[in-house]
Amino acid sequence: MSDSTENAFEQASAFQKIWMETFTKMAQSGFSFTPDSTPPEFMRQMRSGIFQALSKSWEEYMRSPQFRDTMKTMMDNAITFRKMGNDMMTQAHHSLQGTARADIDDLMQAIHHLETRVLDCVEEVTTRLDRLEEKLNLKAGNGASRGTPRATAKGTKAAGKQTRTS
Amino acid sequence: MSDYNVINNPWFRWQRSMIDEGFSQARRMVRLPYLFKKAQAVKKGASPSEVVYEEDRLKLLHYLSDTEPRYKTPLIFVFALVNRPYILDLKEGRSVVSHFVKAGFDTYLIDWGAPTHADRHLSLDDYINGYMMNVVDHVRERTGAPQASILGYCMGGTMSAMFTALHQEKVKNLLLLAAGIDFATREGLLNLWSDADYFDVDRFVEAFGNAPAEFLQATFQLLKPVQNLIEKPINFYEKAEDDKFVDDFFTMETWLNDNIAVPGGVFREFVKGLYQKNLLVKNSMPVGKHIVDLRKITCPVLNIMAQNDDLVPCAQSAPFNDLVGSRDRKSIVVPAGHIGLAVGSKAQKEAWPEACRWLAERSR
Repeated sequence: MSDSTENAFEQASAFQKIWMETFTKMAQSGFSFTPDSTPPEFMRQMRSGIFQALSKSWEEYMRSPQFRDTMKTMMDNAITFRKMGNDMMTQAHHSLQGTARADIDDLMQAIHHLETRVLDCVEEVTTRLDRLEEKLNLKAGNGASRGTPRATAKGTKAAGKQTRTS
Repeated sequence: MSDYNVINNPWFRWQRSMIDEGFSQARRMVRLPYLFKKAQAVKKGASPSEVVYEEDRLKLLHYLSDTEPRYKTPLIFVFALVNRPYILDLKEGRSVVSHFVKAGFDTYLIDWGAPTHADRHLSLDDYINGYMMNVVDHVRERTGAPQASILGYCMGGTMSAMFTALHQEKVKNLLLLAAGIDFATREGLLNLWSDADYFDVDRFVEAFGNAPAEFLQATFQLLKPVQNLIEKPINFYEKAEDDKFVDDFFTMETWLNDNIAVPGGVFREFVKGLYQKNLLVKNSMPVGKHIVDLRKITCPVLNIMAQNDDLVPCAQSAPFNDLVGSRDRKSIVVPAGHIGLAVGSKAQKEAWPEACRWLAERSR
């Protein structure tokens, strides 16, 4: 038997298991019926049993490699579809000599890298300044630590427009 | 026929229960227009607050209290980037924030805001060494305290642990709430689904930019499909006559459906570094040019976990206490789910007062 046929059988049996367990649970609830239980209450019990069985079977199914394979295929398709859409829109914008979102993304990424590099440099300068300040303080016989530590340059990395409104 | 015989006659009781059920159905139907109106009037957040710091989309809320803070160490709540943070201050009687405010803590909460496509390149470095660092520095400056206590929830807990490991000198106490630390466990479905063999996060981020809110919401719903998609609506319909239940239900659902996208850069690092490579427990998780070493956490640690958490199972949070360098460490396991840990009645009655006492002893 080929792998694909075997996979199909495994998927089918996993799916069949869900319903088998559901019906078993339903039947079990039916046997627990007594004249004391009122119909709405009995129906609720039966429903609860079915949901419990369904829940358990679905959990098992969602853990199975079959489900994960299906999920992977769906994700791959969604990504491919999205990429096709993005590419098409980029081409359309470019053919009209316009700016596509991909161009803005590239620009944003370039700015982000530049920002990182600049801030790394600033951080290095800050560290050096701190060390110098410490040395100067020690020389002046004022080894006491400064009040509030200075916010590092790294700390302002994400701050495009920083406002404090205290 | 005597009264006794009527009551004990099964046919009579069956008939009566069916009639009662019929009337109940009718009452529920009549209430439907009222329910729609109620669903649209849900209030977000219960405690009074003011914005004391803003940066890009981030807002830092300071909770107002009638009395002066009793403890000199301020407390900062760090929520996940996935949903809105008002779950921590959902409504009166179900607010984690109000426990701490009433106990006398100077309490702050970070609202990350909703990222746009322009934020797709933001990374964990930007959030942890950028925004979080600025917030902690601002709070320290504002209060004059040398250190702050941090309480991180879910993904915010993981980020708080990383922040503390990188900047231990700024953190007095660390409280984690359902925070993912050890991602090796296969107990949770998210850990299984995000396996590198099944999920190519690079291609995903390349195509979508940010991780879309709808995608995240659908994934969370799928963790418990029968409960979320079938049982919940039925349960709601059956209890539609109970005002308190309806009120709680709408407040909760409003929050659950108030998803926001996760910046692509952060999503990529989180999935790759944590879910797929489990770098945090190996003390080799990179955040910018720094490497997170959990052994550098030496402050008191309180690790609060939910016993029935399907999003961050206990097995994912529990190893944290053994990985840190702190001597003062404690765990609390609450019999609740991921959200119940914050707003559930058991957590509200027992876990949060205990957490307040724990923090009070260490905030003087």
